[in-house]
Amino acid sequence: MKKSAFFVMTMLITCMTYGQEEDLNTAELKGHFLGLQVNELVRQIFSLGSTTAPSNPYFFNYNYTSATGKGFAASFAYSKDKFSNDDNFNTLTTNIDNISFRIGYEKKNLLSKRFVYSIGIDFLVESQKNETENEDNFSSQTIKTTNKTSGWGLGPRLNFQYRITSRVLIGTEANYYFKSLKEKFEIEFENNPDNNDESETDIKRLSFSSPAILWLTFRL
Amino acid sequence: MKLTTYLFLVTLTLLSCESESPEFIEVKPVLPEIPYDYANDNNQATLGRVLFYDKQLSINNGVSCASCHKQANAFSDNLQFSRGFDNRPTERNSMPIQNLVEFSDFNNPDSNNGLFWDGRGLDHDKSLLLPIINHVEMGIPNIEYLVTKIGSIEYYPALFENAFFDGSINAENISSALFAFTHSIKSNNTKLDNSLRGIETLTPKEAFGQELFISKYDCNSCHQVQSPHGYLFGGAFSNIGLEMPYQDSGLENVTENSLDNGKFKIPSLRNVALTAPYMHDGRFSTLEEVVNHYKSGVTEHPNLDIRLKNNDGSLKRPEITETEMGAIIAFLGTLTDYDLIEDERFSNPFE
Repeated sequence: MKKSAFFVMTMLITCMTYGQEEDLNTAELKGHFLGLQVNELVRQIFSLGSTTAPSNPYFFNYNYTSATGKGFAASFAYSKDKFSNDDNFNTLTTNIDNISFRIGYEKKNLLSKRFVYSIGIDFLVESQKNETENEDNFSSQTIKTTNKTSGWGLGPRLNFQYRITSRVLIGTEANYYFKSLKEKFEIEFENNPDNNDESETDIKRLSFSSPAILWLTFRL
Repeated sequence: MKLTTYLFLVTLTLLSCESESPEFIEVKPVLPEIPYDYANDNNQATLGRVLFYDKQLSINNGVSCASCHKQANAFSDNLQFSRGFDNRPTERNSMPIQNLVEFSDFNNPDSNNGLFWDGRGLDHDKSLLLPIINHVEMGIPNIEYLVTKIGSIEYYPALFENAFFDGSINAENISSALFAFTHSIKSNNTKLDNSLRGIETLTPKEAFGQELFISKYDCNSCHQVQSPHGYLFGGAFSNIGLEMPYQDSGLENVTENSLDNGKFKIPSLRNVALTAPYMHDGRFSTLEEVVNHYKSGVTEHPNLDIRLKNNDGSLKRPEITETEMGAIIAFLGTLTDYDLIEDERFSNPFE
């Protein structure tokens, strides 16, 4: 984690230093922007096979930038998955709902005519619910577990973008968030309700996302 | 009228679906009258086999050790990230279980014989319980809960009586039984083993691949394919430049030494054709992708293994041709032990 923090700090300092070398007009950056995460699309097009899933869940981003380069950004993520494993011993069915939202202040600068970087700070909220039902032949009953994790986070973000045209940009981001989450676990036994149980855990962690995602951004 | 009849029938169908409850089948272990012959105590290994395959060792009876260590995959997992009792992904790809005795006897003072990718689990005996009490993997809250749960299952008292002098169901005996089973899993009947014994011959393509693997590209400097444990006396951990920075710190998590950042246990290549996907995070789904990584994908990193650098410090970029790639992969196929994946002694005892 220390290394990750060092990496982000180095990138921030490099950008701030380098960005001051040229007198470039940030007014060019003014406007409303819409970004889409295109990792999966790129992987499909170039047949890259499976790689590590990016730890950055956001797939949709809106950003407004003023003539001074200052502005705000908001990102959203939602996913819904269902898994089912079935064998002679049990049928395990899981539904996972995942929702994340972040909003933040940022300052954009031009590194050159084509390269843009931005530094920002984000506040985020996220929630995940995992409901699993096991039709269990070992104990001849259905056992249901529910795991809800939700909380908030705060931390810096750094974006790099390349302006393909004045309206289309491609870029990536790194972020380093502190997260405070509460995890609630419940287990229900169909035949033995006396054994039902629930517990709560507070989780505080630092989460680093390396520049492993690709944003395709359009000026509106 | 037709509509009313139709609606009535649809409602009736839906109601009949709702009222359907799952049909349960009785599950119990079926064991041979005379225990199989294992490398360790036969009765303890037999008990270990039942524990290894018993899904009741998880909080919701959803998964067993064998859910992520599948015999067909040389006791590794074919998923990129193995999934726990509620289908949540774990953080790493499951390592194969084979020849653990040879690995634990591999006495190199500089090496770490831990069971996991990051070198945790130096004490093999106790480490076998860690996935059971992991909140993502099998979800059992603590060892006491596990002991009570196993004690309440009808077929275990007799198995513990057979396996241990004191016959008691406790954490020590559970881990000893799992140890006896997992450390009996041996893989020593590959085509390469047989060629070294002089009873089988590699095809010209496989022999060419062996030559490339051992001599031209010196893959053997990390992967000692001809030895049962698969290691050389040079340390069992390596940073192979998968990324910079590493999302998962690996050995550094255990040693808290930044020089270990991005280092992971070098896996034995025994049965490598069966253990896809590859690397600690299962990022490569084929052996071609793995070879391509060493060909052109290695990333610069402060802790990068020197065996992946030239004398002047630059990255090695071996120009492996398509023909050579095919030969290397054919050679890796000679490391498959087909007896292991069909051996009844290590199969699922539940019916």
